Amino acid sequence: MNGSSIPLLNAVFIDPEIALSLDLPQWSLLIRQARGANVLPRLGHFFEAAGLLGQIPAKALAHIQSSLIFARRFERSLQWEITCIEAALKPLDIPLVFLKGSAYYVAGNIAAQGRIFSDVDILVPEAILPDVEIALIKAGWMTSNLDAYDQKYYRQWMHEIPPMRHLQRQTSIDVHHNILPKTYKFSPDAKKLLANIVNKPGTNFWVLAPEDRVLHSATHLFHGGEFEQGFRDLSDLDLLLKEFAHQENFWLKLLQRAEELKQQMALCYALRYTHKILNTPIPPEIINTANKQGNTVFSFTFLDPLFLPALQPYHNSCNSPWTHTARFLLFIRSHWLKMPPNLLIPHLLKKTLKQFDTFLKNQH
Amino acid sequence: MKLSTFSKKAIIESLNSDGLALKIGLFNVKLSSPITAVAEHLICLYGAFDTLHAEDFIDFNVAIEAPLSIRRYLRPQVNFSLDGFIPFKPLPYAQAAAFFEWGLNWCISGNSNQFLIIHAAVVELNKQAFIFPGAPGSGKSTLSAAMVCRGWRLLSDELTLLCVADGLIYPVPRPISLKNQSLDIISQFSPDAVIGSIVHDTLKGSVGHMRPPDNSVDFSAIPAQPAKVIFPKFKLGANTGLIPLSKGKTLLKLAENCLNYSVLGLDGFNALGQLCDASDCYDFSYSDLDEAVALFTELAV
Amino acid sequence: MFKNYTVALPKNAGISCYFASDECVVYHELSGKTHLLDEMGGFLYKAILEHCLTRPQLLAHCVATFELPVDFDLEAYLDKLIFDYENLGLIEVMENY
Repeated sequence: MNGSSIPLLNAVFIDPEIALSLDLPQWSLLIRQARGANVLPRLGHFFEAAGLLGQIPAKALAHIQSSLIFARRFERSLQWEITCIEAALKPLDIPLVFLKGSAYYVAGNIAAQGRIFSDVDILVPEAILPDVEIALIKAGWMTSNLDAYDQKYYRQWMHEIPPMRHLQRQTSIDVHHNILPKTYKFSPDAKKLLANIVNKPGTNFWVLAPEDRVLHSATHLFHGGEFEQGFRDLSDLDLLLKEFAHQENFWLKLLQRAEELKQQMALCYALRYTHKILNTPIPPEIINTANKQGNTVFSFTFLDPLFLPALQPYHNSCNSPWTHTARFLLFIRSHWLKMPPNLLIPHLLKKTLKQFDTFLKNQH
Repeated sequence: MKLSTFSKKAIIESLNSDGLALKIGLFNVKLSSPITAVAEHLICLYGAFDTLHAEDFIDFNVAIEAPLSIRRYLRPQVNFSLDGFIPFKPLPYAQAAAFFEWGLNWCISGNSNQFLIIHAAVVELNKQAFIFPGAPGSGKSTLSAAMVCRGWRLLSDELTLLCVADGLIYPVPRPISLKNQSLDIISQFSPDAVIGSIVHDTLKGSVGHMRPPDNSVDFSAIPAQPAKVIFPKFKLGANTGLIPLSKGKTLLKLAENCLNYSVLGLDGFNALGQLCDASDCYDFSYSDLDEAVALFTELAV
Repeated sequence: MFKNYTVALPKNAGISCYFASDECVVYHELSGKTHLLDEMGGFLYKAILEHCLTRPQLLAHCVATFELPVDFDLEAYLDKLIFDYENLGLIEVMENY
């Protein structure tokens, strides 16, 4: 990819109509990019919403339909999983708060359409974490097979307990007590998140407030270090922002909430890169204010060359020679952000030694 | 144009550059590979397949390549990749061509949910498709190889694509994978059968592929009507025996043999119900291929 | 097990059935599981599909339809069957007071 052209997938995400002028090899490329970025069913939903499914060449449509069938079944399984989690946690009598993909599904957000993911994430108060874990174990979930160091690391420093897997269904749940690790200086007060949760009428299902959902999505993407799903996550932000923009005072509430939750940096990046890569309509003055609030440490002169390539669809045709390095540097940055150096270096050392140990064992 | 009209040099060249694009049943597959054994596999077994043009849609861009590592000099291996994504651990270099076949099975079964995909061989005679589901070792590939050597049409030896919308079976004729003793059995059963190079010491033992009949490849655009569902069981010395199986049990056994039943949900269940309604269902034990083929040919009258 | 109950189809589970002669295969869409019911189970399930039934009604159905051996403990058999089906999510059991 060079500076003057954007990947086909981005162009079609911005305006699905342009797909109608593609020739067959371009359709092949579009499908490949969408599959690589794990957004093929989402692309299908865009075409469906624009009333274009009937005009897609049969060969390309077959791949889109196949992924939509998969996505529909995924949604049914997700509903069953949520039902099972609800039954397991019923004795605790707490609001069942979903995060990320499962939250978009529960809230009926557009970002849930065609979004495939592996874990259900829930948020509970830290004080009752042990009770939640026991209730889940009683209902058939098991803590993953981590060694003592990883267990301790998770429990001491992370914002979630180690992922738990259901023995029969083989599904996995992440139980969070916050949205960022405790070690992270921008870790918000989880009580503030729980204070604003929104109920799905007629159920005990809850999600974060719309602004908080955006901020969580932003913080997950821009403090995380893995970009295989980067484009998909950026598209989540784009869809959430477009959906919530119609709500009263959404943008101002978003800026204010970012301050309350110490997420100014994540928000400023989220607005900048959704706007730059997916043309998300955001009022310019909101972007300006977010920049002032958030861009404290690095200037965009350094960040654009990292985030712009890293957030492109995960496909060879969307890579520049620099993309791998950019993604690697952002991976290092994510560790740097999450842990102060006095923790980071022993942690990385320990990890490296462990990998070396495994390597030696595998030699025999 | 059929692949057989190209020179070996031209085939190797396109495998080494942008890739060689073939129409394999419903699927347009583009393969790149610098490995000679892969080229020889195609030349020997894919001669009847049509090549594609630059303006065609490509369903699967796959590659068989040696990974870049020190190991390539010590113990050479190969990777299968779909569009740059590597779904499996590498295999020994000698298994490169077989890896293409196994990898393509994976591509098809993961991306074709318009079809309920049954892990079964399927062959046709007199407009009646016979479906042979079965675990590895049940002898379904051997049985289907023998039947196509006696004039049956090959739809697939491994993946039965049952269309959810119309209840028909869509062919993906490809080389038939034969293992261990089956290689000798088929060579003796039909001395004309073309079998590609045989690789030993795979996870499945010795593996070779039999070239699909040209006719089956030529007619691969025409779907077939299911008529029989037969669960084969090869047992040394067993008498040829066809035992009716109830439709309910057949449905349940078929569900266990599907690759995407859980993905299709209710549509998959309904498709199996229709398949059972449309078919006679049997358990089948055999040891003698001639007897088996004669019996089925009689059933298909 | 309760001594009286009413059995109905679960709401919103997406239950579908395939019938062939005296067999019944049930698909539970939410869990994605497929079950083959035995002869008596299939017969009762067919009846439950039409409307909900109480325990005495279910027992009467069985007695009227099947020739049962004299020493067959129908009540225990039925209660076990209902308990199993409830666990699989195939039916909903309501206790009657």
